[in-house]
Amino acid sequence: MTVWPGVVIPMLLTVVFLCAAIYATAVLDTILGRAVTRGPRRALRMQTFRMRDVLEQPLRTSALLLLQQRTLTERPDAGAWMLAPALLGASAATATALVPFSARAATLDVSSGIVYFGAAMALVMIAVYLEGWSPNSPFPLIGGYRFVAQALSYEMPLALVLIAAALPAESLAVGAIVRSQAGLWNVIRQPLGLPIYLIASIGLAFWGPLALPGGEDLAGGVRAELSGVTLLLWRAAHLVVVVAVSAMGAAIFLGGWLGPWIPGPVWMMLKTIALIVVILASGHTLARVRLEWFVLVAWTILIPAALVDVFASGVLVLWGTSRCC
Amino acid sequence: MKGPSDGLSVFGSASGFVSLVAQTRGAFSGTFRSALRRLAIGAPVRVFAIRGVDPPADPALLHLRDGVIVLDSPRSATILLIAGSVPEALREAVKHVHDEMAHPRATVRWVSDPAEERVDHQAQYNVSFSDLTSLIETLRRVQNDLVTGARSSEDDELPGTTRTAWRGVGPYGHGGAGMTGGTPYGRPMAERAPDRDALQLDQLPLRIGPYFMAFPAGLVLDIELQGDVVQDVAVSAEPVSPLRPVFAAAINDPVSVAVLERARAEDHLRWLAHALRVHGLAALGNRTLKLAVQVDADETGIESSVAELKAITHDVGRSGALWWSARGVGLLSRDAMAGRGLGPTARASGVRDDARIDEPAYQALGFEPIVNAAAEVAAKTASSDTNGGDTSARWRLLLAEAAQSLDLAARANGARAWGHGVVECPRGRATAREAPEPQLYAMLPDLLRGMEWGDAVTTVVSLNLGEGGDVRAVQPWAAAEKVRQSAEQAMKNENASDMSGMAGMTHTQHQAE
Repeated sequence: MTVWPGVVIPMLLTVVFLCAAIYATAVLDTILGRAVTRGPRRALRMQTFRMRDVLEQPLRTSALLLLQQRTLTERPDAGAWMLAPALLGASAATATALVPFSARAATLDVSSGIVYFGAAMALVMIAVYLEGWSPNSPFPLIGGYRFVAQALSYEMPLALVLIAAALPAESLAVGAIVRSQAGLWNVIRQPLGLPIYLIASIGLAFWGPLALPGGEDLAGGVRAELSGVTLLLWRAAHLVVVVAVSAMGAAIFLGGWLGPWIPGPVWMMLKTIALIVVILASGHTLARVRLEWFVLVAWTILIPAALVDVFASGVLVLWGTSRCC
Repeated sequence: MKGPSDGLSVFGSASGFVSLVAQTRGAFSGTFRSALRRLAIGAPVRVFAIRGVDPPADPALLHLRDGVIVLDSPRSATILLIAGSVPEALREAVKHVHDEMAHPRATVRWVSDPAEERVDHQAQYNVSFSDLTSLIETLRRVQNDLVTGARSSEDDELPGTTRTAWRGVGPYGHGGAGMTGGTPYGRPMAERAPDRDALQLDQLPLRIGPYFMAFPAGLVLDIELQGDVVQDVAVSAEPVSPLRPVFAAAINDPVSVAVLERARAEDHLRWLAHALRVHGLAALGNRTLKLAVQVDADETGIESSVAELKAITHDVGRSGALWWSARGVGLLSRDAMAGRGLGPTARASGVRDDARIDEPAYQALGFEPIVNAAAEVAAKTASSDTNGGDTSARWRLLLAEAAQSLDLAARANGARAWGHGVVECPRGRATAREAPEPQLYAMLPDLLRGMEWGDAVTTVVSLNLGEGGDVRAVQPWAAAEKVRQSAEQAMKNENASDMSGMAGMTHTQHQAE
């Protein structure tokens, strides 16, 4: 019975954290969108935002969607359609649970943390494809196809930069990777790592320039047929993916909880928010790419660059080992 | 230790307990629902907008207002906004769109003439405000009424089973006939055909439009898709976009050059704003649309518009829109565009084709058309690689021409132009009888064939086919017609084989006897 506090409390904390993060991310996205619409000169004037509206909007929209009918298409794969948002949200929540918010606070501090993260994030592809497949409708289906091609292109660079980050730590545990950055953060030690991770993360979160499965040219793609509570769940799960990749990026490349003057969890929070802002801003400032172009860039530039990152990190580790022993 | 019966005895009986649970659940559910209703009041209005003929204002302007979300798909919209009147040929399509929406839902007709007869649907709101603020206030009130239950949700426009006519048809009740005949689940079957790599793959016939957000209202494309590659295209309904009043007036009477050029800049910017939105740059698109409104309203000086246009041009370049979204997509060759009066689309392909060259008022201003120089040079050096203009070139030209128009408007000094039966409108050369768009629609099948769907959308958007709203006719869907005929044939064959089977059985029975 003593196991329960150890399991339930971190899980509850993760759920509370995710709910707060979904809300904060939705608010942040609205603010960024309005800032770009208003132009650089007026963007910084907060009074132009009507903050009360911005803060209330996600809650009111959620309530409206909860009251809305969940429509069905003709002959959908109903089970898979229900499963897809749950799978997306659960995969991203699992990935978030792996992120340590301080030296002693991680919901799931396992020794093979980044492998676990990669496995959880691989399920995002299944969830998005299911969401496209299930409604038996052409635009969502094309969105699903697109994401498979996209995922095959970003997964390799993502895995390689995570491996490169694990080399200096000599461990696959996320906590150990954070501790290995006590002297120098990975963003400086491995300069190729964070840019490649960010591009792959934007692909994984199908956001902004890589929102190919949900593009306007497909009338919303995988979410084109969603309404009511399923649309709400899908959007919430989508935001959890953004939070998950940002939190993991902050831990792996920006030194996680490490930092002077303020408490570790606050550092972690600030670094995560910084990466969330970068990902959200890409959605308002960068045009959606052509899939063919992204596949080409991923296989001819990102994967070779990620391999260079792995080899360079390996050489540095060996060099450091030979000097000290 | 208490047994189960001790617990139940508190409530008297098991049925009493169940009833209490149900009541508690009902009360909780009721309280929760009323709390949700209170919270949902004031939520941004979820609108799916349909553009009809002669709307009081451009429904795209709703993108600029807080408190309204204009959606790409009708599924999660609460309000169907019909801006203008719907032509007869598209009324059925509007009803389909309406029935796709989730409950609670309502239709708001936004028309120029409030006395116009409501012949096509059950819309209970018929408003004619030309100012968006009043319209948005109405939309908000309607959504709030739906949320609180003060107004009931609208029923289907196509009651019964129009969309599920296949039910109960055929041996399994799924609309099929024989092994591969009929219309299973009401749609044509995917048939195999060679793809671009000479593989035999399924080819799915689809009808896109007439209210696909990225296209002009009324455009219907019948396409054959393999994966997301467009293998074949037919234009089954061609929208008719009215000429802007100022250009229509200039055909017969001289009009101020400043007014004409402001209108041209505004049209180009609206076109670009739409394209940016389709490419995932909604915020930048809104900024461009705001500039278009500013240029039109003439509230601020041209200098501030020019400065904002420069900033937008810079941000469009930085967004990658001209590079990774549009480069090499939808190439229109210089030869194909020459001498057809296709305005900026032709000039982006390197053709020096602009009726303003021969217009005295423009000659006096030293007007020289902007032409895609790379395409011109390529044509002279017979380099086939860049002999023409792609989507990227069309967008660059659009931005450059908007700046040029603002410059001409600033220098016009009361000059007047046209009035002799022709005008260079924002889409090309127009007369009282001829508009440039039909030529572009005729090019679409050859242009789009072999493209991925995303590139096909990019290309159609880049051609500036107008906003649409009206169509002359919608052709019947050939794929559905073909399938219907094959189903009839299959049914005939099936009946014939049943008859011969019966004859065979009779023969066997005779043998057994």
